[in-house]
Amino acid sequence: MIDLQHITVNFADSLHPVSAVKDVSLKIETGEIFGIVGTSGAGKSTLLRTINLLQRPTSGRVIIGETDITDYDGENLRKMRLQMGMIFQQFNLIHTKTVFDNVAFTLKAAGVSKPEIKERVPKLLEVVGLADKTGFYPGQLSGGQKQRVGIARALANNPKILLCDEPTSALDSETTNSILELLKDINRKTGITMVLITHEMTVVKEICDRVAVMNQAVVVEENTVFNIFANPKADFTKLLIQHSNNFSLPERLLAQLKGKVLKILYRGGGAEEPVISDTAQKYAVAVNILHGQIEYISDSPLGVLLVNINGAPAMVEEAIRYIKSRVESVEVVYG
Amino acid sequence: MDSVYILEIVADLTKAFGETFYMIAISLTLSVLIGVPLGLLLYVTDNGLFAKNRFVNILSGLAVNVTRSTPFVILLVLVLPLTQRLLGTTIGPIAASVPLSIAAIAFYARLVQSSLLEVDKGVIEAAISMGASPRMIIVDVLLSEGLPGLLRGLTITAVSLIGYSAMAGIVGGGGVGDLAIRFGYYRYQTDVMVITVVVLVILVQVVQTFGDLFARKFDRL
Repeated sequence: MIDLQHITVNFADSLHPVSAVKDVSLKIETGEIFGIVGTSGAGKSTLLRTINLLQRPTSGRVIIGETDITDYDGENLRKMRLQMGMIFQQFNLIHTKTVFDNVAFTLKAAGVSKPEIKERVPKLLEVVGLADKTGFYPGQLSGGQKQRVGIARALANNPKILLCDEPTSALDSETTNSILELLKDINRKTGITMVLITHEMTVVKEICDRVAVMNQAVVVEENTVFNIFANPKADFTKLLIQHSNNFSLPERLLAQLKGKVLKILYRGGGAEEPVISDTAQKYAVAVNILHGQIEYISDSPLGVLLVNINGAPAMVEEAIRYIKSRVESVEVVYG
Repeated sequence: MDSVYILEIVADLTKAFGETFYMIAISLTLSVLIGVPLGLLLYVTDNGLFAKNRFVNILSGLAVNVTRSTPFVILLVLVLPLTQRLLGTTIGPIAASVPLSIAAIAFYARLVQSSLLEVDKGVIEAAISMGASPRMIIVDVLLSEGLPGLLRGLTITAVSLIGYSAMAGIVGGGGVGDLAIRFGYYRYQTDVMVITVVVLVILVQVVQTFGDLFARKFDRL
């Protein structure tokens, strides 16, 4: 659906020319929710904005469907943008216009007739759960409601693509969840392709199918969300995931421990088997669970356990080998 | 003070008030009709979002600056030939409206530009991302979002015009300010001067109050 080929964006207007995006290539499939994650300043927002050419790439091609749009301008560009919706961190609603007029704006841009606008706007507001707020001004709405108006506005012309620029970063966690639910729901019902940028791994975990991790203007890793969490490869990705799964143990505990500490990763069906108790029965080792969690990402379970294993060194080695054979991965993190 | 004297002052004041009203109404109308488009031109030609044009921007900016940096008393005299060509006379409130309008247009154009610059770039960008035409962006985003600022700027312009119009007396424009200078200053009739100043203070207060009221009404915060 979206094919970004070797996108580079340089900002040359300052004394120090900066590459915001360096040679990034991504393919985003029809109907998926694709995340771009990274810390602020990583270039993810700039990259997103090249998709509808709010930001023109310095080099590289932007291909939507089968069409290379990189050199579009004027009317062509306008027509193309009608097929893409965009929502923003700060909502960017016209605050001197009512909720109705904000949504009507997009339809008007597409040349929809007045009677049809009158008919379609209430339906769109219905979809986002704001049917009763038609005559309100944005200033009278909460952040979550403003984003809902933003979503209704972005979807008004039934676009094929929805670009989401940190859509939940200005919202509290409860509102974030409800907005993500809404986006997921819209994606399922309409099959719209979504590209979402965020700095929060929790958002990625919640909603995305695939994700690209960006750091310092380049994509360091790209995979399904499950694999990114289960098996992060790039150091930067590992760092991001560590932030969202904090498994650090208190110093005091580590100092008193005998034996080794293992980090065991289960995935899929493995998470449902009694590996730990099997190990304890089979080998003369003591296994003690220190920390752990099982999460469901894209409906498959992903478990992480920190265990302390203690016994005769040879036994411990064998036990570790046995655990390794049963689970996704085992890492000795201490001892 | 006898009653005839008071009646005289009232008659003079009423006439002067009418003249001031005339001058301000004409120049304020023209500053909206021409100053808003000019301010928009200054904004869009300077702005990377659309229609950036350095040449037009520098040229229109220069025209505005030249007008604004010319002291109003000088401008008043400077445009006399133009007034003569346009209206066939250089005397009276309508003739005085010509330099007043020129000054007001330039003044308001800058205020329009600066209140457009206050419009959130994100909102403009959102409109662009939805495929809105430049016309829609100007009408439905820039002018709509800028409206409270435009109204505040118009209030400032009106108040400045009341001040400028006092100088219109030099070319026989009349008005309240002119009355204050002629009677109060040249003829040492301090009482007349005080009365006219009080009237001017009230006038400015009224303009400012209504201006703020409208601006707040359209600022849907």
